[in-house]
This record gives sequence, C-alpha cells and structure tokens, in this order.
Amino acid sequence: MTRRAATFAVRAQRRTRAAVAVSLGALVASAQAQAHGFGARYDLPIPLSLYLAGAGLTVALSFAMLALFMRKAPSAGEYRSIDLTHTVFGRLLGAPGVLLTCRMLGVALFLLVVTAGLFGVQSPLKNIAPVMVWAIWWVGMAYISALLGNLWALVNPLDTLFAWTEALCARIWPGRELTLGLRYPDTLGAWPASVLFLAFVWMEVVWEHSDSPAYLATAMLGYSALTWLGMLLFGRAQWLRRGEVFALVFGLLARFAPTELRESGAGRCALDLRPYGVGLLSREPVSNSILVLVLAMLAAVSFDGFIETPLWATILEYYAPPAQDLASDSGAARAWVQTAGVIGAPLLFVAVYLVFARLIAWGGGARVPVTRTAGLFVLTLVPIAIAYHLAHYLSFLAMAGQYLIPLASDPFGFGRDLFGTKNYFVRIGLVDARAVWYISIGAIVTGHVVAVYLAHRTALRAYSDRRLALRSQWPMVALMVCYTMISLWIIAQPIVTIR
Amino acid sequence: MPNVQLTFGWPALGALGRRALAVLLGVALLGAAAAVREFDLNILKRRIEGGGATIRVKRGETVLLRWRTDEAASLHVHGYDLRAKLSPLAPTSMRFEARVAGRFAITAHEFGAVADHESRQKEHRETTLLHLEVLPE
Repeated sequence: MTRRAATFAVRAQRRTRAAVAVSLGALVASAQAQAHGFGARYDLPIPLSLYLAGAGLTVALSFAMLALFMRKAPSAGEYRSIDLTHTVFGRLLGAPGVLLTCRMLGVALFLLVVTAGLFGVQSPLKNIAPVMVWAIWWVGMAYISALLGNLWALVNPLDTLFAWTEALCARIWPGRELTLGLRYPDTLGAWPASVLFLAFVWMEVVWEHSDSPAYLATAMLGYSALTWLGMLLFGRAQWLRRGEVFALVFGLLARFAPTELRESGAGRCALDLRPYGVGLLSREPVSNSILVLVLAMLAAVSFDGFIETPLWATILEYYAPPAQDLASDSGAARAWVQTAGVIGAPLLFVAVYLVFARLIAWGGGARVPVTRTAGLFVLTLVPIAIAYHLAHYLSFLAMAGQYLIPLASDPFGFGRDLFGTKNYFVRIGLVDARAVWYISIGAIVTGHVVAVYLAHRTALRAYSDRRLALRSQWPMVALMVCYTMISLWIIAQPIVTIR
Repeated sequence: MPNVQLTFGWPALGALGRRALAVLLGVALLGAAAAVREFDLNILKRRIEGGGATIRVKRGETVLLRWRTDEAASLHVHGYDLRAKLSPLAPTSMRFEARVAGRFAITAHEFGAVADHESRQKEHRETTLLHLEVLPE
C-alpha cells in the first residue's frame, strides 16, 4: 500500500517535471521567424574578418584557377565512375525488399504527416507536420540529394502510390493502363514545374499559414491530387519529368551528388559512384523551362536568406510601413511586398544571367549562339547555391531536427508517449557557433571553386578551342564571384525578424 | 601534515597539483565574479531609449538586464526562453548565464493593460526591442 503510494508520488513528481520540460521545449522556438515556413534561427552573423577572408579567397582562387587553366586545360573528356551495382552496397540497395521497404516507409510518413496535420493538435510545435515538411523534408532532403544522391526518386510517396494503383489496375483489368495516354505538348516543357516551384516558394516565404498543420496537410493533399491528375493524363514517367516539381528540384540538386542511378537496360538499374559535381556537366543545353527553374531555385535560395537581412527590413518598412498601433494590421501590405520579392527575385536572376550569357557567347567569339550558351552553363552555378544552402541551414537543421525526437512519441500532440521521448528537451546551439562559421565559409568557397571548374570544363567541351574557351570564361567567373559574394554577404548580416 | 590533508579528501595530486588546483579555482571564481555584464535598459514609448539595437556578450558571462519601463509589458528573451512581466512601478532585473552562442531577439509581447491578458495569447503581436548576441569566447 505504502509502496504504491510512493510510486504514485514519484510518478506525479515526474509528471510535473515532464510538463515543465515540455512547456520549455515548446517555447524555445515559439513562432518567431516566419522566413522558413517554420521555426526560428539563432545564427550569429559571420564576423567581418571571416567575411573578408572568404571574399578575398573567392577572388584569389578564381584568378588562380583561370591562370592555371591558361597553362594547362583540365580534361574535357568523360569522368571516371565506379560501378557499385555488384558491390555489397549496390546489391543491398538493389534487393527488391530493401527498395520496397524504403517506398513503404515514404508512404507511411506521408500518410502520418497528412493525418497528423488534419486531425492533430493545431500548434506548430506540438504537431509533427510542420517540422517534417519544412525542416526534415524540404531542407533535409535537399541536403541528402546534394550530398548523397537522389533519394526522393526512390521514396517519392506520390509516385509510389500511383505506381501501386497502376499495378493493382493491371491485375484487375489486364492489358489496360491507368493513364489516358494524352500526348504531352512538348512546347509546355517543364513549365508546370517552374510555375509550381514559384508557388511553393511563396508558400514558404509569404504564406501566413505555412506553419499551421491543417493548412499544410490540405496543401499536400491538393498537390497530390494535382500530381495524380498529371500522371493520369500524361503518364507517370512523363509527369515526373515535367510537372512533379520536387522530382525535378531534388533531381537537379542530385546531379551534384556522388551517386547516380542509371538505366542499364531491361528495366534494371545500375548504381555508379562518381566525383562530386560532374553530373552538372552537360553536353546539351537545358531547355528554357529548366533554365528558368534552375535560376528560380538559385534565386529562392538567396532570397530566403535575404529576407532576414536588415536591408530587406528597411525595404519592407519603406514599402509597407508598420501600423502605428498594435491593434491594426499591416500584414497584407507586407505580404504583397514579399510576394513581389518572390516573383521579382527569379526575374532579376534570369535577366542578369541572360546578360552574362550574351557576354559569354561574345567572349567565345559567337561560336555558340546565346540561346545555347545560356542553357549550357546554367547548371554550373548550382554548386554555389548548394554550398550556400548547406551554410545557411546547418544550425537550423540541427535545432529543428531535434523536434522530431519528442514529436515521434506524440506526432498528433494528443499527449501520448509512444517511445518515451516525449519530454526530450530541444537544445539550441548543438553545433558550435564557431564551427558553423568555418563550415559556412569553407562550404561557400569550395562551392565556388567547383562551379568555376565545372564551367571551364563545359566551355572546353563546347568550344573545342582552348583560347576561345578561356575568353568565354571571364564573364562567367565574374558572374560566379558576384553570386558567391551575395551568399557571403547574407551570412555576414545579422538576422532581423520582422514582426 | 600532508597525510592529514589527504584524509580531508584532497585528491592525491601532490603538492604542486594541489597548488595548481587552488590557483585554478581562485581564477575561476574571480573570472565568474568579473564576468557579470550589466545593461540598463529603459523602455520609452515602446522602444529602447537611445535605440538599443544589439547588446553583445561573450559566452560564459553572466548577463544582468535591468529593465525600466513607462508602460506595462510582457518580455521574452528568445532562445533562452526567459520571460518577465514589466511594470512601470518598479524596475525588473533579469539575470542569466549566457551558455549558448547565438543571436537572440528580445521582444515585448503585449504592452499596457493587455500585457497580462492570457486569453489573447494566440493572436499576440511581438515587437522586437533589441537583440542579444552571445559570441563564442
């Protein structure tokens, strides 16, 4: 009897302690910065000395590389890759059970996020949906795509669900396919994906409900319906290449990655290991719609950081002055200015890039027309964006990712404790601030060097004349230095949150 | 004599080690005592008087914020997640150890009579008063 009373007392005590921990944990990032759809960032600006060192290094390395290429051209030929298909790793990944498990996991997580979003507690930090969508999936999947390989292509739940339905239909009505088999108009290119990408960036940056679970889940369902409609009309493979924006975006990022899945005939896949970045070398220029999508991605990555700088705060204050008293609302005016930014940033990027593409074509003696030049070199800018993305989100991912630990035990916010991790206390500053600085500068300078190298190799292939290739690269390097400087400048700015 | 000290529970470090330990302890105490950074912050018309944009401290220092205000306000140091209710009647002190490096907003959630009105918490608006930057040492 007394023993039972004692355990009760201990339990009650534990419960109060738990309650305190949870309330603290939930408040750590209490809906502060709206810039990333979800969560707050506490990054320190890069100190001036490091900023200058990074900028100096960028310029110096650019010149050193051009001087080096003047003496000795890098080989323009094929890159070496190692076939991993028959190694232990390749066999493990190629085993049907493993792939099926990955797909099922993808579908299960998708369903969990949607149901939690719709039926769970409507609080950004007590529901698993916002952290899964904005931190784990959007930021984390970009990390994985760029650093490891195209995971999204394997686990894409929308693709899996449609493929399963297709297989089911084929079993019930043999010989019939689950598609209307309309011919996809070639002039449409990947424009659906480009437009959807802008809409997605708007949701991340401007949408006031971006961290609301139910709104997020509804948006996911809406997008799923759109994707399945596209697949139904034009076929699964066709829509994945043209309209499923995340297949395209993560696919583009994964061109930087060191692994490559390639068709090896008879419906089999081979897994190759290759050097970082070589997937971005293109022999043929990308289409206009892909060109715009890539530039919109670059613009979105930079704009996402730019909106936290004091400069943007000033712009916003100028065009959408804050309301005088706290009761009235200036949110709508701000949303309009931000929307203008979301649309204006990619337009600006496209305009600037086209000017430079003209300079590159001119530098290369007009051997290659501007339209081809623009499509040839655009992918070589991607490493700079990836490097900035890694630098920008490192500590955010380290902090926001921790929310998954308590949320895994209580994904709906109903007060369950499935794995006993409900009371995990989220730690800020998990990655040391100084380490974040050095990793950021290191990543950005490395990304720049890789970009300059890739552009030069692309030029050598395109011009087959070393002198012309070199001349064409002066404007390209100038553009890359500018773009890298933007990244460095942003991370040297103190984060300002506008409220 | 050294044996006596050993029985008192001193770690068996030898005379030199013990002396070093004592010196280190002294330095640490002195350091801790010296590293209190005090800031007097005065809220006037919903802004920090003199436009306090950013206060900077080093990690490991103790921060003491002394608040005065002309209007009741509910205060929040983000990241460290410290909260306080300020009243124009008496100054309020906030004391904490800056353990984690980063840049943290200090915001006022509600001013005036609504400051202690809990029910409106959902639709509250924050005003950033200033930022606290904790720099790595």
